Amino acid sequence: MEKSKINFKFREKLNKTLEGKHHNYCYQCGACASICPAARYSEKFNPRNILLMTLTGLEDELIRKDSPIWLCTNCYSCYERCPQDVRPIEIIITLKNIAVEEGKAPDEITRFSEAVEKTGESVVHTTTVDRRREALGLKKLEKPEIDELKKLLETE
Amino acid sequence: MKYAFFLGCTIPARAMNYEVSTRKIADKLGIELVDLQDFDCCGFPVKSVDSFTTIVMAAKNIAVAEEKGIDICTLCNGCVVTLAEANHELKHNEELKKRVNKELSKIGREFKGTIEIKHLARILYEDVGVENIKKAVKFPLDDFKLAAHYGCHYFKPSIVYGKFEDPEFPTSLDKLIEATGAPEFNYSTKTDCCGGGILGVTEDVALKMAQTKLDDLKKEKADAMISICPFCSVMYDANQKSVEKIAETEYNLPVLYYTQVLGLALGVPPDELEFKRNRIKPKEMIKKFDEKYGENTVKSEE
Repeated sequence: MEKSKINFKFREKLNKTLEGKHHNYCYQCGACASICPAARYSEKFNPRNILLMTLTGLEDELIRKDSPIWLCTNCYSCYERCPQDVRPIEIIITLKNIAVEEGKAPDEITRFSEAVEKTGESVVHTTTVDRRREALGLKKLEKPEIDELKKLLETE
Repeated sequence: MKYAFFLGCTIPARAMNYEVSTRKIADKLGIELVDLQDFDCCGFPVKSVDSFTTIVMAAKNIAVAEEKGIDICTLCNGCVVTLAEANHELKHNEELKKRVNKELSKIGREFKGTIEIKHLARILYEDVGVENIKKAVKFPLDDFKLAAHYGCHYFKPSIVYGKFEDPEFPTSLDKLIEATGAPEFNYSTKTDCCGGGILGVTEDVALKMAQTKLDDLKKEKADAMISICPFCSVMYDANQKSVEKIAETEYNLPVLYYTQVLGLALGVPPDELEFKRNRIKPKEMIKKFDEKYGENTVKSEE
């Protein structure tokens, strides 16, 4: 079997992010995995394992299009149960952010946010929507002030 | 009671039944919902891509309501968690607040930390109050077994919501449902995640997750599932037929927004609550309701 490559600097990268430094507190108790719905349904996903891989610096296995991180359902149960305030979900989101930055995210992930950044809304409001709203006596939807949002997102 | 009404992107386009029924019950209960022009996407869809951008987008929306000096009311669990998490972080992290405000200054706005973010269900529970809802009920829904589905982000992470719910055993939606006259209804998969978060990435796992709760509610003979999130409704209502295919069974379980059933109980005529927009139609429920109260609901409109 091929040996896993360890990046000893990976944890430093995480420490520089918004939520990433919490991973240092993980002592591998497994409370997160015991309540995780994604782990119950998919053998590929286990938050405790993801934290172990993070602590070990297995960057190549975590930061890739077919990484288990994309199977997290975002339910926040691990955040509640973790006795060490690791916030596993926030670590997973941080890993996702790194993957996106390095162009290693599935297309489904970036497609959604590209639409938001372009139009200011995640669901495009069509003329059919306008017609239905009018029939129901609901206010017409105004297009979001996209110039403001663009200015806000410019230098990101 | 006055709130800045944060509709989000999905509800006004795809869940008009939720919006219409909300506006009707708000009128009945004296909640003033103010539509603000400058809101845009809460930021939720961007979080996987860049967490900081999400906080900036959320902070901008919060700043818009702060300028008016009113708290925000959302209908969507995705919106409420995004705005409440940003609000909490920014109120407790000066350095982050400075960083975010530097961005907001480009458009002449500022996050101050002066308002609260609440989901409509929480407003009904905390600010209107269960007792006042009970008093306003005209047609008790005592014949129906209504199963509460909270959705994860309604109460988690609990710290950003001031721990108003026990994250392991939430009760507020159950009490709101019981306020309509419906009997207490407990079931073991109540706090299960709908799976919506991974529908786009791995549909088969997502559908299996939805299946567990649908199986449970079939076994427990629920008349309807009560949702307060448009994304959970996508999983259980819009995708129910797909789940039926993989489960090789039939559920025919209506998934209704709380505001729709509350509307019924408060005396809003059923046809004004847009049940025709729910994928699984609550035909039997409405028939039963009409048989019991039909004449009166018409009269109440005169």
